[in-house]
Amino acid sequence: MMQSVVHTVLAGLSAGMFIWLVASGLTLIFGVLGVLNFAHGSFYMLGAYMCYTVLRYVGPDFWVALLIAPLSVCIIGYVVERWFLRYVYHLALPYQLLLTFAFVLIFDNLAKMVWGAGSVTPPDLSTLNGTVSILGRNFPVYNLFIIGVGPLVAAGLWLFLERTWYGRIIRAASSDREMAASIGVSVPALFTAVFVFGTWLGALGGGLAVPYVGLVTTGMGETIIIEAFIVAVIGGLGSLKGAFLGALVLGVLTAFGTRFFPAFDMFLTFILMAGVLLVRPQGLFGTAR
Amino acid sequence: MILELSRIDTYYGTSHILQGVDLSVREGEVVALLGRNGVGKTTTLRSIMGLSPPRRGSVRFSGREITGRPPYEVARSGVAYVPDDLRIFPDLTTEENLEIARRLSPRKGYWNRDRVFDLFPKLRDLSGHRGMNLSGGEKKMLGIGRALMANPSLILLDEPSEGLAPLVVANLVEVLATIRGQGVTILLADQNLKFCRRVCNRGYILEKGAVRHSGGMEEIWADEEIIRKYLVL
Repeated sequence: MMQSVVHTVLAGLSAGMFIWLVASGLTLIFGVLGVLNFAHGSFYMLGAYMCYTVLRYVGPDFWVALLIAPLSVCIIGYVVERWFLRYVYHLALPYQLLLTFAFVLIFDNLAKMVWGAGSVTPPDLSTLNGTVSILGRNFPVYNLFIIGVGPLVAAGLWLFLERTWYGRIIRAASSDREMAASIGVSVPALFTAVFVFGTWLGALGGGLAVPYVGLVTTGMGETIIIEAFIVAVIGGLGSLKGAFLGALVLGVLTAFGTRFFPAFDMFLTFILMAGVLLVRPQGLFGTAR
Repeated sequence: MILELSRIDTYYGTSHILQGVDLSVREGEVVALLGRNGVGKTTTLRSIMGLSPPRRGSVRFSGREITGRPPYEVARSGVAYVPDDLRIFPDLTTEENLEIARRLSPRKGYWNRDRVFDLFPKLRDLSGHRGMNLSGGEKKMLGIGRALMANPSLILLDEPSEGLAPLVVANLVEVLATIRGQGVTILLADQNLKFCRRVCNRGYILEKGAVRHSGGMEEIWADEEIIRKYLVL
């Protein structure tokens, strides 16, 4: 029993880290730009496809792929923000949702055109592919690595936002865009930079998911964006701390659901969201608006 | 002229707020925008800053046309804005609120953190406190301090004396004299005629989005009819 519980928690934590990587970009973009980016799951998917492409056509070195793939998706993120999103900031929320949702469909179909409608399988990787014995049962080393990457990204983000001047400028602009502009912040340039950085986080998640899931499909973006949205709402929209804790809770809860109540695994997720929202409509760490 | 507004028209949505405002400020002057609530004082300052860009007319600053330029360009060219609600960054400390303004400004000059702390000694003790924990009076000092950190040549001050106790107003008069002594030009919007008389050279009186009268502060102070018509509530 103990062994089973520990392994379920570990599996849940590693799944939660992928949700966190997508939710962190989503949250950062919402916190600064005020835009709910439906297409964020697409950046995750594209990160995975680009990672697959580099592994397939450049060479089977996972670290090289993990460096190149998210950066290439950043170019797409740049185009989306600079040439499309920028023109709807002044419009009401439904227009922004409509535009980003359109991008979900566009990227899905583009991915199908480029990589085919079915799933693709990356070449076998020797990177971190062993297992370690935990309480007498084997656990993949790669999943442990993922459990380490999540907090590392969280700590890096925290240090960047709290301890650097770029981070302070981002915090100032997210609390008061107009005043930030009045002391010399080029808000349009800042928005582009934050959006591209958020894109990178999502695509990094997608790249990291390749050895974890072992195959890449166009549907992976949709699954993760729903979970990331739930996490962002539970944690309080705009709160990175909330998104991190929310992702851990959701990951572990889903793992327990799948392991012990397979018929109810999605049900548990929504019960959690409904429960949190009933008690704290603004989310765990959100501020009431 | 360091600042020249000619016939500017500014709208909020479809409401026509400023209707051909003309005014000019010479270098080193302290000029008041007077008038009751809702006559367009704040909108005039926001139009200069580029926060509410005028639809027609021209704003010239230091000989350059800045109409329609984005606020960050106006700020970098040497204009600082202190809004009436101050808008201190709540998440940053007092020191960070000051430092961020210095770092974003390409301008060098007299003002730095220590000089701002000398001007407002209270801020030195609060340097580690977050903006959200400051009192109204402390935010006012920090708002002016943050504006100075950019070493602007022109400061736009919205309602500086509003909500201050008489003793604090007296202190503000001295502070503004010090700032002016360092060669900074000030355009302020205020309803307190007595305060304006003590700090300003000249005044413009606004009513329904247009300048109705302008003149020296002493002249305005002595003109009971103007005061009754445009200023008394």
